[in-house]
Amino acid sequence: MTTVTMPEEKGFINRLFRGAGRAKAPAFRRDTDVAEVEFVVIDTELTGLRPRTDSVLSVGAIHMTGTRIELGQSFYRVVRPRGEVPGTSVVIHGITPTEADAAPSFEVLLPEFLAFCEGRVIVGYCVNIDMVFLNGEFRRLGRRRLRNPVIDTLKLYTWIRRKQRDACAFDNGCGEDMGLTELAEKFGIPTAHMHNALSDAYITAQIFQQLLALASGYGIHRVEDLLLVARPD
Amino acid sequence: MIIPEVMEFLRGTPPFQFLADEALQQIALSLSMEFYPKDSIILRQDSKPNAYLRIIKKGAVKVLIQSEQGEEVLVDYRGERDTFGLWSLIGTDRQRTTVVAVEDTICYLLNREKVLELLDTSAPFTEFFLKSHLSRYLDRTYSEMLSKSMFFGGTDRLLFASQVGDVATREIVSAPETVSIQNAAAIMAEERVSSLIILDSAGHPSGILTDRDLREKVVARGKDVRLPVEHVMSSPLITVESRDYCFDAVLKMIRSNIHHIVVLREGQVHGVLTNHDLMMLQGASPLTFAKDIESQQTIDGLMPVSNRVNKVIGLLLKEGAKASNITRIISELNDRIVTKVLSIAEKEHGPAPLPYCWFVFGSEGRKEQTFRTDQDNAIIYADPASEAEARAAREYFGPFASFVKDALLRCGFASCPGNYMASNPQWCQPYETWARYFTQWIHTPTPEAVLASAIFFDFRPVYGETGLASRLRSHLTASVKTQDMFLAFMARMTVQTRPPLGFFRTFVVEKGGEHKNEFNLKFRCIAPLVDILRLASLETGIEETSTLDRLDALRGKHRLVNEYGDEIRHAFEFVSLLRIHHQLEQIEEGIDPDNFINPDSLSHLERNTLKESCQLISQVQDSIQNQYGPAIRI
Repeated sequence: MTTVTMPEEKGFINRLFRGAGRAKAPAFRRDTDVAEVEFVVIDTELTGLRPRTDSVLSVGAIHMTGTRIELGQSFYRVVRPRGEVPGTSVVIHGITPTEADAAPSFEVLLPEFLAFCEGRVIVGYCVNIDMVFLNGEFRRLGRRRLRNPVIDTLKLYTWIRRKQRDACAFDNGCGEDMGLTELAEKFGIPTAHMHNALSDAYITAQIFQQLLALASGYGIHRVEDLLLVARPD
Repeated sequence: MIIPEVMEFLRGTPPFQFLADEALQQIALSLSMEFYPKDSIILRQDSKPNAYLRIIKKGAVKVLIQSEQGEEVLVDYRGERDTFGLWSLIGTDRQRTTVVAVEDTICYLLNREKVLELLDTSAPFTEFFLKSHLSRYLDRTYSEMLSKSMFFGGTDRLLFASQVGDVATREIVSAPETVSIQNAAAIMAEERVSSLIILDSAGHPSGILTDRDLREKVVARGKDVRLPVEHVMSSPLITVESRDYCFDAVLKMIRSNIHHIVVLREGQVHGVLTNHDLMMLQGASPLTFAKDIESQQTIDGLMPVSNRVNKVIGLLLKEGAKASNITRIISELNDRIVTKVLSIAEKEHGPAPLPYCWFVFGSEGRKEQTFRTDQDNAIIYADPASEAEARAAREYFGPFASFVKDALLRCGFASCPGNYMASNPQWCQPYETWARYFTQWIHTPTPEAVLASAIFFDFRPVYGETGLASRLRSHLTASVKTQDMFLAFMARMTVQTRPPLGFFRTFVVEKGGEHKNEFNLKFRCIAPLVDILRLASLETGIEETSTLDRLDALRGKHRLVNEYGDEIRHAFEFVSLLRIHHQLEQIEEGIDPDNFINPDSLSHLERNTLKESCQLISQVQDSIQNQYGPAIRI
């Protein structure tokens, strides 16, 4: 990945990249071909959905080179949460309070996780939630928030659906509030181990792979195009 | 859970299933996964070489090859757990095929380094890819399209296509372990070999002594040459199976840093393969071969050369040659052998009392021989001027023809069961008699006469006074053209044997016996095509004898050829190639080659092409039947 000086007059994408460029490592060329972009598809399991009290319970991530999922390059860690693991959530993510208590704190895995994300565009399903919690953990540790460009697969999916609907007035599909499971099923992706952070990241990566193929049919060929339509709100 | 899932998939995917879990895990970790939407082009022919072996996890692809004429030909379909991209990956110069997803397809991608590592270290992996992919890619229907060095340039390709046993030096020289170094060296010098197989007391090979051992372990170290050879021989023996591809041998030789490798066949020493043999692989060309024939002065010298013809066929096939090219090259080589035999015979028997011409007919006459076929030959000599000359001719040509027959027999040409050979006095005659034979057959077309015509009318001269044969040809062409009755009989014979296709486009096969579920490809498909072109040539007065030459000569001159010419050519090439492959397979298995094909053993593509060929033959036969009308209804 080479660093380039960004022209000043460009809009938010430039600001986005400039931010990234100023941080030490990650530097992205906004006109990089999607096929050559390094992506990291992430997912987190949380103790709950309230950022103030709940925290990250596990982190899963898998590396993609362009449209290729690198099966051997994944990341999965269980994290000792700050609070209790609510017993009710165990049935969802399968991480028991005992297991969680024995796990290292977020601080311990932080360097590893940062290294895994370095120089890569972050991708996730409803990735805003993951980013809020991850950045929350960073902030608590006195670290800067993640500066990587971020792409939301649900947003990309919704954008593609809208394009398809424009082309076909009788389309009765409704994509905007599709859950990860429904989305996976729609794309014919097996969902054997849902709600494990790595497994969900892997499923998300497979969905993203197919979305990229569809998106290229609508002229999305460079990472800047992708960020334009699929940056989380 | 990603990696275990991939491993589980690989466990059910050949050849990965043969690998141990540890190796499988290493592979799984190195894989990447790619999605290709329906109709997308995964690999494009002539683009940069691809860097991955792709394993289809889900979906299906089709493999296309574009010919030099720009025509795209579907070569294969691949489905789940099949792989593609191997040869282009190994070739490294450019992508050989175009691969298109026929449905949404997900592939696992195994990188080049890993593939090469596996080819190098895992025998089952190597075997699977070399055998299954080689036969699939190089030996199949459209291999002719690949002939223009599509797969490997020159020697590389031969390394992949030739079996060790075909290339290795067969003459092995051995000595017991107890022999002294000095004596061993003396044996090597005496026998002019660069390696000596050393046998233990039980007679089993225990090591090899090479020039290099003598140089490095004896001379350079001042070793006592009276010591037993076992002190300096290379041991344990590094061996390779005679059925392995040369590529395997090269890998082993490179890995062990040796220049000699012992070739085993069923546990026995079969020969030695040296790096020199591998270099000489390029010399296995028909050209080198022809030179070899030329340089022989005796039948004994000619025999071993002649018996190598089958190997040339194997090599040509594996290089993806067209059937018609193969048979032409083989005919050319056989002609040279026959010519050589005749010139040796002339030396033995003195000059002939009258000008004569040695001519051949049947498949030899059509230049459509594949593996060594029967002798079909005859002598035509100039009309004797007196009874004394006639007697002299009979006395000369009789023993002369017998000598040639025996010599050819020793060179691997079986004698003709129908006794259509010059050694039979009936087929060793002056011009006048031959002309009378032909006239008789044409004017009185008995079944025997029509059969003889079908055999003899494809004659062509090979040696001697070719003018005699040309005169006979002109005589035939002039006599037959107006003989509608004879042509009708020929036509009847031509439509009599139908291709083995049933009403519902299923193959009609033998219901029992030795060839149950098979049919005779030569009798049912090749012969009808040959007959069709022979009939058309006789009708039109075309003098060519090869089926495809006849086809070319008849263009614009004959209704059937104008209408079906290209299809007939394609069908003929296809069924001929099928037959050659079938026979080569049998020869490699040590079985006598026959013409019986089991349609179930063919690939989908081959089966369909064969069906189309059969339908075409039927159609042309119907057309002939209509042309000649009820007279030839059977």
